[in-house]
Amino acid sequence: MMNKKNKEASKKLNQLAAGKKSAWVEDYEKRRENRDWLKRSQKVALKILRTLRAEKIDQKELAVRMGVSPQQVSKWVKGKENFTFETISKIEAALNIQLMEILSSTAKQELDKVKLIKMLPQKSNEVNYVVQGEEKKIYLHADETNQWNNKRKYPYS
Amino acid sequence: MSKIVDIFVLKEDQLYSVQYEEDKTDIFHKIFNLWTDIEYLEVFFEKHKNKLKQARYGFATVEEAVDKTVEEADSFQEKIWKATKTEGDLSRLVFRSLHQHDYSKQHIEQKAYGTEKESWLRIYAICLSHDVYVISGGGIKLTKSMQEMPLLEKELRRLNQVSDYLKEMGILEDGDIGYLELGNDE
Repeated sequence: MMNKKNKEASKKLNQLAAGKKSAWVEDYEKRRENRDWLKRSQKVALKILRTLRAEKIDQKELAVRMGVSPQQVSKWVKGKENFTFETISKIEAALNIQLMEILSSTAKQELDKVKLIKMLPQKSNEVNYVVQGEEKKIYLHADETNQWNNKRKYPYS
Repeated sequence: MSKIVDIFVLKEDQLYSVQYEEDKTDIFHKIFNLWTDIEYLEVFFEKHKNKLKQARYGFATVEEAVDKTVEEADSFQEKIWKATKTEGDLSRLVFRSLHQHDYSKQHIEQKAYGTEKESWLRIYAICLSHDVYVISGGGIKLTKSMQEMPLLEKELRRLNQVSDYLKEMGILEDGDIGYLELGNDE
């Protein structure tokens, strides 16, 4: 229930905004729909940027090497581009890097389907997860620091 | 300081965001554009990479920091989006109140200590009355001191600016404001 004060504040704010919705709403709804490929695009963008930095190549130089405009490269590195295989291959050749890899091992395929249901390795090294409805358990092997970092890949058994 | 030129609705009757003269979009939209812009994030974390190792979050590399920010931004947006699409109050988005008389550096610094599980993305807003908010800015809180203070000072200036703007527009009265930090922590 809104009280009188809330109503007054909201009414004045609505008048001031004159019905204009933040463009974020539409923008985010598009991002939600495209979330899966956008994640890949972001990984590609980051790999390009880190390579350019490590090799001391600027974006203009990459554009020249690939025969595209600097604006095009600038679009790629924002992580919002839906790359084609052709573009990916050309970038790989221009920078001598690998951007795509098909991981076909059974373990990887299984882990892709994994949904972690409980992960408390700061308390124990036991991880419970579900693959296709079946509950499974693995044990992570601690590293020399014995500090848990949820971004690090640990060996497990 | 850039002038406030407009205001936009995120959730009618409850959540709004101002637009500054220097920007093409409202500030809330701009912030999430930056937090999902890989080029911006790579430059930001490269600039602050020495602080990453000392940060309380336990991430050491620029790559990890960019990945974390993008993931956090995604889940933070989802949380806000869901809140704007459903009935009910928005208090679950509030991370903490920044009390009006508690802005001494010492106090802010003390309050900034957090756990490693804490998200480092923050949105700042003014609470006009119960469950009516106007967003003024946001930023990445990288460490508890070095990075945080300049960010917080800038954000406090913006909160004051929005508060003055709302008073000018006859929306806000003296003495009835609250400054808030919205976060993504559970």
